[in-house]
Amino acid sequence: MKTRRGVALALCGALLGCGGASAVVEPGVVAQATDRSGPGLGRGVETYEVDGVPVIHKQTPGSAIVEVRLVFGRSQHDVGTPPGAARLALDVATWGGGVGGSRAEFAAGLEAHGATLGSSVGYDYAVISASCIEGFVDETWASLAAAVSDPAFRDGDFSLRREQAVAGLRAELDDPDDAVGVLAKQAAFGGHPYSDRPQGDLDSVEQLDLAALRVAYDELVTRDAATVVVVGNVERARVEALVRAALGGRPATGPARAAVPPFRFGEGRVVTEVRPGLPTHYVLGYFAAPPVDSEDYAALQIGLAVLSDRLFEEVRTKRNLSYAVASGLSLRRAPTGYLYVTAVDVDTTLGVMADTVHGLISPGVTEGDLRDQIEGYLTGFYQGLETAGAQATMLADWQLIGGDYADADALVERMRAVTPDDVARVIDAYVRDIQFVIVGDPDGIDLERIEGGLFEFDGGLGTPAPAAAAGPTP
Amino acid sequence: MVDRQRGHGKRGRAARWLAATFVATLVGLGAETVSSAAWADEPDRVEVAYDFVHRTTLPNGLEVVVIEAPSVPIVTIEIAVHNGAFTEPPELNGLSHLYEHMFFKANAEIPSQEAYLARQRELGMSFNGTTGDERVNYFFTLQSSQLRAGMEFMAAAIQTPLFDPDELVREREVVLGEYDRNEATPTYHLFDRMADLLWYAYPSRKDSLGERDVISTATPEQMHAMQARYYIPNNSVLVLSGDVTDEEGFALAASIFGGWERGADPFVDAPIPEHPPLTGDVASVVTQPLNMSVLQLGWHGPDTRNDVSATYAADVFSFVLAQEGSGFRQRLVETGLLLDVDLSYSTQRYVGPITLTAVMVPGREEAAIAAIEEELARFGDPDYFTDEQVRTAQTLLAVSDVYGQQSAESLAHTLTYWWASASIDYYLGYIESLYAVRREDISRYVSTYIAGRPRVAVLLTSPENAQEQGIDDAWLLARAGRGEQ
Repeated sequence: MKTRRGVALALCGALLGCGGASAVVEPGVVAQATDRSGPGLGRGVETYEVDGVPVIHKQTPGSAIVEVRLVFGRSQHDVGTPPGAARLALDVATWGGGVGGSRAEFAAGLEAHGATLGSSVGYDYAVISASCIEGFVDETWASLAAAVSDPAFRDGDFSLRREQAVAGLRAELDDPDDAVGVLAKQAAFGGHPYSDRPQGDLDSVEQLDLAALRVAYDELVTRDAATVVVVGNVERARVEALVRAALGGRPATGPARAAVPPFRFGEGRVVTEVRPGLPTHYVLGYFAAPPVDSEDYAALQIGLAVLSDRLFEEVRTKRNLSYAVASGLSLRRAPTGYLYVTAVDVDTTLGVMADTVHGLISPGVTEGDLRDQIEGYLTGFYQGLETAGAQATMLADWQLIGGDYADADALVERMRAVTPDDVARVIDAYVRDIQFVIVGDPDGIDLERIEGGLFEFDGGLGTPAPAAAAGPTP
Repeated sequence: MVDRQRGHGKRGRAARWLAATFVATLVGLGAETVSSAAWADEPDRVEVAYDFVHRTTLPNGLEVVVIEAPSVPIVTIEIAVHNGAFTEPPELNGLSHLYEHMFFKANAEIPSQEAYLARQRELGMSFNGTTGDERVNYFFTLQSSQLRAGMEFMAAAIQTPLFDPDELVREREVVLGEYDRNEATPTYHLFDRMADLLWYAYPSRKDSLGERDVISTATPEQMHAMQARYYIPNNSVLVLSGDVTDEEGFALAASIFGGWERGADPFVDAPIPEHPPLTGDVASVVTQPLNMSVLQLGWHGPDTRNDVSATYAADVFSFVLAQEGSGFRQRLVETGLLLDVDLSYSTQRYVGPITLTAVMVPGREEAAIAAIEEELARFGDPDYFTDEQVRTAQTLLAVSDVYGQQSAESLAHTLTYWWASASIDYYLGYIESLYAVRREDISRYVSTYIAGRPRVAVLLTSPENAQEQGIDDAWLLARAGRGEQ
């Protein structure tokens, strides 16, 4: 029961206030090969430690691609620097390279081998990535190690990347599809650690200086928060050398990873962004969802997949109310579900969507519906296993968010155990108190109806399963 | 789904990187081996093999390609048709796309779209279709244990659509909803204006989204006419990609698609008109509510019918300029003048567009255009780029192919893209041809298609910025035109 133990250790660590990286690999287990038959994320995975840094290493026979993720279990809200500093710090480090050469030499060296370095800071963790083909691993990893261990942080690099980041923030609402995503998170995440969004805000990023970036980098990129994910045909000795070169000189510890409470919205809400003349409306609503280790997660995952198919059929196919309609569930320490649609007639469309949600409660779904969704999920899951990059991302996600990469494979079995009653119960319990954002012209839309009970069914089928006060901590 | 991706086909092309030599083996037409001894002494070359690609042609003219990529137990079934905007006169503009939507509805085997969707779910299948300028493709991805069922499902959809009048009326509204989403996006208006001006004589032939009034009045008779003309085996390719062998794939294709009736060559009765060359510079300003300015310059580029060698040079040159260390990016982006800049070429059968796209902070338009003009004037200089940058461009293109080969579905899309815009042979020889590009090939490409050639300039900016800077069509033409002609 490695899966559950990993979660239990993580929760224990969080409750005791000793959040560190030690739960990624079980104490005392130096190397652990995973023997799993058939396709699966865990197949071919070996876990080991290098000077205390956990490594998840997946061999992929037949693939020429090698992907590395240096993952750090902290985000913007864990560090004490201004909003946006963490993301810009990692960006400047991986864009400009290490102190040992010029930026031009660094970039040319990567390009000559078709290799790329990148970085991101998400809501739950930060990552520095490298991607190359097998024949150019040595050159690429040397550049990666140089950039990570001692980034140059040149004034010119910083100024240019900050200006580009500021321009991006100024334009992030230009496209209404992007705007509804940004505004919906803003509306739903207020008062939660996730409101300290990784990309920061315009005022903050404009005021950032190199000193703030250095602090953010030193607080993020520490050995205690690190997990290394490698997908590709590389010998373990080369991975060990990379880990030592990249992380050996980094600080041992950083700030504790903050607890992330689950969302509790309490009531529905609609925020409007007025765009007169837009030919359609963009609508996105978030609702609270259970943590990934909750008994309810698998049921809601499959329930929202059924719902997405039914929305397509009821909204698009039968009533031609929309081109794009969907529902789904995020994988985060504090997850949210969502409903999304673009429509000219918002009232009618949301009414049909509400009826469709209610249909999952009564009369409900069938065993056949659930079987079909499992098959569809497996098709998508196998597609994710085709590319080294997607596997590296899945391994990092499930390790850093779920607490154990093996949970990705286990989710299929959890979904197989879901019953129609489970789906009715979790839809009733979670698809409510939706935080909607509408981009378009709200004139004539019955906003009170949307806020005041359109998606409240009072099915009385159950309440959310008790959620932990914090997600798993690596 | 309208595929408005232009100039990125090569990034998604598929190839397989090996440490050995380049070998392309074409099974089905008899084994054929292509090798390139000239490559042997060149270090750091990313070499590719296509021994996992097998093809044959059925007696009814249907080309069949099997791509063996068995890393996971799934397979993609894709059919592509020579159809799309290039076949559409103004009065039919948008119908290839509407047809693509109707593909997923009732047919002789499946009585309604609801039944269609139920069967799709039962098979655990993801599915979609895209309509582009020169290709319409349909694809299902499902577990390989369901391959036969999936192929039968595809065969019924492509051979026996019913075009139920009620379903057509409803789907017209869905397509208009897709149209709405495009029109709500500021950059759509830039691309749309560029296409209208670049393809001034026959704009409908490069506009896969089409016209609202054509879509909203489409009839089942029009759909049936399109089916009869284009949806025939000798105008199509079937690709099976993933966990499937050539033996199994060819046998299933013959069994399931062998009875599909051949038709007359669609391009005899409905020939494709040639886009006349630009005769002078044209400039246009598009205003939309946004917080950036985007300049796009467009030229008529080569195509695979008339100047295939220039298509390879075009790709290599684009990737020379895209390098962080290129003078082009150093002077335009690393100085902070532009936020980004890109020169791209889209490989097509009927005149591929060359586009330079520059993104900038509002207020910098004048300086940006002047700097871009300086770069354009230097494109033909012998020292504008280095041999090393050419080699790096070739590596970048080859490596991007290696990445593309990881996904069975991506491989299928890539192959049908090249089938439509060039040929399968073009696809199989693409990397070898890229490595054969030399400095003089790039010079010829630049002088033939870009340097001193008529162009279209379109600037997308906010109404407020246009007013503040005094930007209008004449302003733009004076700066982004070639001056005295």
